[in-house]
Amino acid sequence: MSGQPNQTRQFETKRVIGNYPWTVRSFAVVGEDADETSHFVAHAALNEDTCEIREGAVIPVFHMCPPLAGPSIEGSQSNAIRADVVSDISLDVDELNSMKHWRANVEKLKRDVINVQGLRPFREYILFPHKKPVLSELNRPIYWRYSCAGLVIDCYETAGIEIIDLSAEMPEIDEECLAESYPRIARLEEIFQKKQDHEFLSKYGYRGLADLGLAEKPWRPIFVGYLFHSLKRFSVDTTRPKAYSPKSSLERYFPLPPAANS
Amino acid sequence: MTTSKKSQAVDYDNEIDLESVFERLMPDGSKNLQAICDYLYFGKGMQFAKPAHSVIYEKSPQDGKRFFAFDEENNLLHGRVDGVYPHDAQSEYPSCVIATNSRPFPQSQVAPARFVFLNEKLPVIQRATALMDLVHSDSALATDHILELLRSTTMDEKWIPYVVYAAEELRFANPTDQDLVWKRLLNIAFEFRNRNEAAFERVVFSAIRRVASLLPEDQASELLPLLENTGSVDTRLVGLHAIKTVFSVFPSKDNCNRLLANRVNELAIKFIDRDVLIPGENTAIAEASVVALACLKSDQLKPRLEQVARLRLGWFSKILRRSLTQVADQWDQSAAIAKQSIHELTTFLE
Repeated sequence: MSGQPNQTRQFETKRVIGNYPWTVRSFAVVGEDADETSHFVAHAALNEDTCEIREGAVIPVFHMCPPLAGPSIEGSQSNAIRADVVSDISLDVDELNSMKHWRANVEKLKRDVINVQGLRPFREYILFPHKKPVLSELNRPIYWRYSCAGLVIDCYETAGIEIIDLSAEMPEIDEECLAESYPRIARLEEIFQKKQDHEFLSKYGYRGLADLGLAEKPWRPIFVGYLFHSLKRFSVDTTRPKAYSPKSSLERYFPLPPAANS
Repeated sequence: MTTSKKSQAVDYDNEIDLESVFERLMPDGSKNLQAICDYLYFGKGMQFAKPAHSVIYEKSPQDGKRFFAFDEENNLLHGRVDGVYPHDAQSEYPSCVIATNSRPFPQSQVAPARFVFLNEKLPVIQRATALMDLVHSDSALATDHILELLRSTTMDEKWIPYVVYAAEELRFANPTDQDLVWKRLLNIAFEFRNRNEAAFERVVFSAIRRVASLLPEDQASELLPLLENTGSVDTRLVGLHAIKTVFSVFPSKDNCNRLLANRVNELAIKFIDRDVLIPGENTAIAEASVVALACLKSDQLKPRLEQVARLRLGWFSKILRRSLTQVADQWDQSAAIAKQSIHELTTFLE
């Protein structure tokens, strides 16, 4: 059997609040907030191993690490993030097998910017599309760049779970939303636009928004929050839902801010 | 040391090509390069002077010649020279330059990465890190030097990871350079997969990926040794991926790469087995070997697909069907027959 959830399994997509332990299984989707005040989910990853978590827990993950490090890992990249939001949709055996298979392949195709000295984080990362090959002189792929959401989407897609409808148009965002969501990228872009400090930019391998997939407007990146709004629909009452199309860029928050609900 | 000595130029045998360094740093600075000397004292007044090393300065006899040097923490300094003093055999003092008005190098002017990379007196790791900066800030210079390093038969081993990663980032327009790159990187992969050090695993994978991105289709058999699990680093999966990459635009011509196809088929037969098909690297090898047979247009593809179908592993069949379809869809339109053939064969997996 494949993809049909068992009625006895638990499905949870929620914020991690309080000290009551929650057992989260491997390949569950883990989200980390940009800060402690808003519910803007800035980063997504795949849980490495089954573990117990509580509020504030930092857990090992497999992920496309954000190029400028997350709020809980100041100044450096690592393979652990704070689990602020988690989605464990009770993957069945076939889905888990598919994901283990996916990971073995991806580890050979994706570079390890965290453990390998000399690589520049923006060369591995892309905002849009969610994944893209870096092509050689002969138009052949050398390695793949991913967004953090893209790596999760790709993993689940291999297991037959379409979290996001990739053929649909994502909600449009403007400069203000981009700067609020990715303040450090906005700062680098400012330096890039003024043609200042190439040495500084080269430390990150930053080559402008166009290189990250935001060349021409409208910009329609896939925000991490969209994943959790999609995964929230998975429950014991239904078979795997169809791919999700977010309606508004406010869905980058999970849950939606009160104003958006009214 | 005394400051009363008369200033005069010094000629030393240079260990590095300072002229090219200086030219790159100061394209407007003519060829008035002096030389390197052992010490530079900088600071306000000799009593506060600090030593620096790797000093280069202009040959111009006038006062105020420009210099570059590194302080004890290897920060790049620049400034104007006040006086140059030769080594005095009668005294205890080494050669030196006095510069009372030196300052750290401003980032906005000349890229220090160039200087650091070109300064052969600095440790390789420091220079290699600068090289990775150059890849993004001055790719022409980085490309020249990567090719130079790859041509060298005596490259310091510490350079290897950086050369491999830089080669992934840089593009080599000249076919002769492309040949050099894939041949040298393949040798690096062969050599370093035998090293029992975890740090080399990623280097080997990167090298193989870059080889596959440049290797001519008619030389795909060069990948054959990668399909043997003989080293500390198991290169079979990345080797199979490499075959897929080589034939990602056009499939193999008929009856080419027969030896390679035979080995791929051996792997496929072994790994498409319920006792071996453990989700992870093993299933990935099974999938990649079948995909490689498709790329090589092997007549063994059909029997292997039948073998997969007999397993009745729905999830694996589904993944394999998708991979084969993606590979065929990416082929050039001129490979229409091969595309059609793959689409027909995947019906075995339904």
